[in-house]
Amino acid sequence: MTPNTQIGFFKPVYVKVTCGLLILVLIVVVVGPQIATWEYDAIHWEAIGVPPSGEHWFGTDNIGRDLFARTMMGGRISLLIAVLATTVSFCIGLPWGAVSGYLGGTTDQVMMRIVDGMYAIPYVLIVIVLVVMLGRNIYLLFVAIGAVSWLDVSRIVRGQALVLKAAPFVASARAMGLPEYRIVVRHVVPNVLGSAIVFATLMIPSVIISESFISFLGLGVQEPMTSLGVLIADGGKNIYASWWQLAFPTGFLTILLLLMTILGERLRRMVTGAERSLT
Amino acid sequence: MLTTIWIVVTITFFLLRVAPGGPFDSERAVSAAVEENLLAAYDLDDPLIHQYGSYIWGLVQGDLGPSYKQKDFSVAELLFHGLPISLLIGGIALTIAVTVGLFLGATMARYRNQKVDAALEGFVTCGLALPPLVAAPLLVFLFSLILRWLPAGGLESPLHLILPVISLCIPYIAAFARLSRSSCLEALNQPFATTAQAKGVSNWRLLWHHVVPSALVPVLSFVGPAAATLLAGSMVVEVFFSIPGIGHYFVQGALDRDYTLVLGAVLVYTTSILVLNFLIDLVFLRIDPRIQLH
Repeated sequence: MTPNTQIGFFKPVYVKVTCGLLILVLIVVVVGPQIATWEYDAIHWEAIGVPPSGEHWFGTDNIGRDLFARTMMGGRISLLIAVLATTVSFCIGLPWGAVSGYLGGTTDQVMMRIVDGMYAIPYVLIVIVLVVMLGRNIYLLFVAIGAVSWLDVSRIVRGQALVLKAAPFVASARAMGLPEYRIVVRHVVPNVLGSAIVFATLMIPSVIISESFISFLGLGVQEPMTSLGVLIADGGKNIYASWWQLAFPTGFLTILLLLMTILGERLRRMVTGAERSLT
Repeated sequence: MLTTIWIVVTITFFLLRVAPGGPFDSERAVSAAVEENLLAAYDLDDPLIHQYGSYIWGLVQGDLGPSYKQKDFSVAELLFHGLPISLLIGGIALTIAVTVGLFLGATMARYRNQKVDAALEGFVTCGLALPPLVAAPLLVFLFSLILRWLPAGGLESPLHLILPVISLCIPYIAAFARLSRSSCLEALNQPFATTAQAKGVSNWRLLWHHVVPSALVPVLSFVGPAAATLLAGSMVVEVFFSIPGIGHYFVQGALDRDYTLVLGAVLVYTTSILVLNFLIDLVFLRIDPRIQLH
């Protein structure tokens, strides 16, 4: 099976375009709230629920807040939480997988059975229970998402660590009498870092989905701070009266997810060299 | 199976209770005496281990406890009301996802690395990027606001089910399509497929009678994990389309810190996933005689 990266949707030219657009979106999210004429939480009594116009590009919501500023801010918060949650899952998954894979034996068995056990419980249930337990708070939200999404990272890292364990340089490090923790920290971890980072990048779109989902349900980001999920939930309540409140945040999230998924797919194919992938 | 349920319930029970705050916290604080009475009425002032004991004892007898916020309803009543609706939507969505996904995947494998394959691949990638949270608003825009064909919420007729089901199953169609493609390709490369081709079996028959049946096992074994993640989508869909399913009560319970309701919903979710996995194992026995249950 040859990797079909050269035909159709995955031609290099499309990938370049996708990359360019994604960078554009990122720039917009970073500078957007600054260039917007209005503050994201400023209430304009004279403009409540007005449709898009030259003054309010995306219209305003039911209490007169500028939707352009809110969408940009929401995109920024969603991306920020996604990056932080991915970092959290990376920080748990990497050492867990490296230790489990390198030590092997009973330790490996126990550590991996814990991972299997956590896989068996639907992760949404854990996140929601954690959110209920920790309280509704932005800072705890990414910890909660990170705390359940490290499972995949740890499996990937463990697989890599198993391969590295047999590598000659690890054997010579052991022959030199290095203590085990030192071998893990100085020899195993740096070598799995590359693929672990690539994999973590691939996780970002799904983490954005988790964050928007929890915020959509009202369990995540709280007013007046906003995220794409919060905006979609608010817009959904007013679709008949004011379509723009739902259209712009949804459009923004769709574009963001499409770009990241296409790019991630391309990246995955380049790394694995084939089209093997689940989910 | 019972052990798994017990572990899940126990962990959830204690996790929920570790946190400060409770179902009777509200913006308007009740006086200390009222709160004490409320707690006593629901036995919330007993030591935690006693509460746990009586909860489990109730559970064995099929009693999920009272809901703290939805007065006059027991958790069992609420969930019993929501379960059929959620099962219906989830079940239809999952069935569509498997059948359509399998069909698309098999077609992609049949025309591998040709234009059809590449085009479908594009659709699949887009589908993966459209979780229910995104698909639901987009579909409502198209079919309810612009075309005015379908209702945007509520649950009064079968028509009301169409949009929720479609928005729920899109990413799973994509996932199943991709999975079936690779497992059909694997089957196509095996000697039996070559033999069938050599004896002059038509392409169509080769695909549906020889390749697809043998590619079925990996595809079906993804149904369990898919159902587990489908839960998240079903909550979004139920909230977005105002459908009174279990997801709706679960989210409400989580917002209100209604412990028993959250616990009950977790219990029902876990049980349905486990039952589904068990059923899939039974199906495996039918389609692949080499598999044996221990």
